[in-house]
Order: sequence, then structure tokens, then C-alpha cells
Amino acid sequence: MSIWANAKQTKSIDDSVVNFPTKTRLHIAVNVKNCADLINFYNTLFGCSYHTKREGYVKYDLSEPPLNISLNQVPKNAKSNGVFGIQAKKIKHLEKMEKRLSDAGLRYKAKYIGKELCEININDPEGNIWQLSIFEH
Amino acid sequence: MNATAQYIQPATNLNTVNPLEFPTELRPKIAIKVSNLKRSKIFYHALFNRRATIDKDKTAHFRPYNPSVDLILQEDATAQARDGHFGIQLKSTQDIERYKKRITEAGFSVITEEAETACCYSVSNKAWVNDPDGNQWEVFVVTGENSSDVRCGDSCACEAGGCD
Repeated sequence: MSIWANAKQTKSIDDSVVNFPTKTRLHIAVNVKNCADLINFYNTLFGCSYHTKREGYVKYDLSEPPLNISLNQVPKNAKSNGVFGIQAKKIKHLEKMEKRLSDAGLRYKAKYIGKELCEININDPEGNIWQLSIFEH
Repeated sequence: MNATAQYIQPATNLNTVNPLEFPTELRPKIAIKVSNLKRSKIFYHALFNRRATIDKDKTAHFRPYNPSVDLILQEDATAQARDGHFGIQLKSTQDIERYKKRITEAGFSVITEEAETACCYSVSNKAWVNDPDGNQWEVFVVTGENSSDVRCGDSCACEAGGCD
């Protein structure tokens, strides 16, 4: 018998049916008045189409940034919870996001340091605030 | 809730890791208002198993790797729990226990636990906890994706505060 036979098993057994590259992943559920009106905005913001769309529910499965974000339709009193954002290590990634927003004709405010883009502020069609920025310590 | 609960010492000193590092090119950010920064810091330290990276008078940043996020807490008397919720998606149901242990040891309670519960068109194992202002966090593992026709089940806490 192996000397390790009675050793405590420390490795967890993965039983998730969803796989993603990071060990864990943040989840944000935004309560919204109307999912359908927001799909264009969020497809553009994240640069990809939603992962799941069902009645009153839209979910994005993102690896960059690592995020599981859902829009849950609660028409009567949807209120945003805080300010959301995406931080980028490199300017080229922030510029990519800006290009997507600009190509889609969305209105946003851009801040520059010198000639370098450092922050984009944009609201989704229901007023939820997103700040896209270069990550600074 | 025990407001005098002490910080728990993290298992490994993650604070020695360069705070400029995060594993991906992009990282999500959440900024929320809290009514009592000291109490909120105890809660989020327990949730993330990590101290605040930036700890100022009225602001604290938590920058854990698991999950990768920059969570910014701003002390503000107008803080209130809004609807919607946050969560940490795990891959192993066993790991939910570690979160429960840290949260309860820090003096907070696990509000609800859900085993193989249908919600958001999936089936999940979950533990729900509230921060001191009532912001909801779910620690969860999806065990059946798109396997349910239920958006928000009777036992599901995901829309608490959001319906009527």
C-alpha cells in the first residue's frame, strides 16, 4: 500500500460543467428593464455576442476580462448596483474597445493623457455606468 | 453580525505579490458605496481571503486573483443595497465550503444555500452571502448549463429585492 494512501486529499474535484481559463471568475448580474434593448450595447462593449439568450435573460461568458455577466430583466424597479468597469494593461486593448464603440456609433467620453487614451466613460442605454481604463497602480 | 471580528490571516501572503499583476490582459472593476468601510473591509477580506491592496481613509481597493477583480469600496452615507447581485464562479462544489468557513469565522452569516437548484436557466450549487450593506454575493458552481427552463425558481435568491 502506498504511503500516501491515507493522505488527505487536497485537490478539489471539479464538478462544474462550465469551463473557463481562470481558476475562478467574477459574476455580475445587472437587473435591467429590458434585455433586448441592451444586447447591441453589450455585444459592442465586450466585442462578442452573448453566450445565452432566454426569456428576460442574457448572459455573456467572457475570458477577457474573466467575467460571467448576466442581464436579468426586472422591468418595474431595475436599479444599477455601483459602477462597472474594465481595466486594461495595454493601451492597444483600450483603443480596440474605443474603436468598437465608435464604429457602432455609441456616445462616450474619452480622456487622454497627452495623446494617449487613458479612460472611456460610457453609459448603457439604461444608464448603467461603465468605465474603461488603463490600469494604474 | 460581529462588527469587532478580526481580520483572518490569509493562508498565504498574497500581499507580497506585485499589485500591478493580474493574470489576464483585462480585468473587471466594480465600484460600490458602503456605509461603514471598516465593516465592509472585514467582509471582503473574508470573501476574497485577501487584504485590501489600497487602504485609505474613505476608500479601499480589493484586488484579489480569485476572482480577478478590482473592487473599489467608497465610504458614503448614501450607500444602499441596490438590486442585482455579484458572484464568484468556482469549478468545484467542495470549494464553496472554504468560502462559507471564512465568511462565518469573520462573523457574517451564510444567508441561503442552494443545492442543485434551477435558476437562470441553469442548475447550480450556491451559497449566498450579503455584505454589510446588503449587497448580495453568490459563491457558485454551475452543474447543469442551459439544462433548466426556470429563470428564477421559488427557492432562488437571485432576484430578491428586484421583484415588485
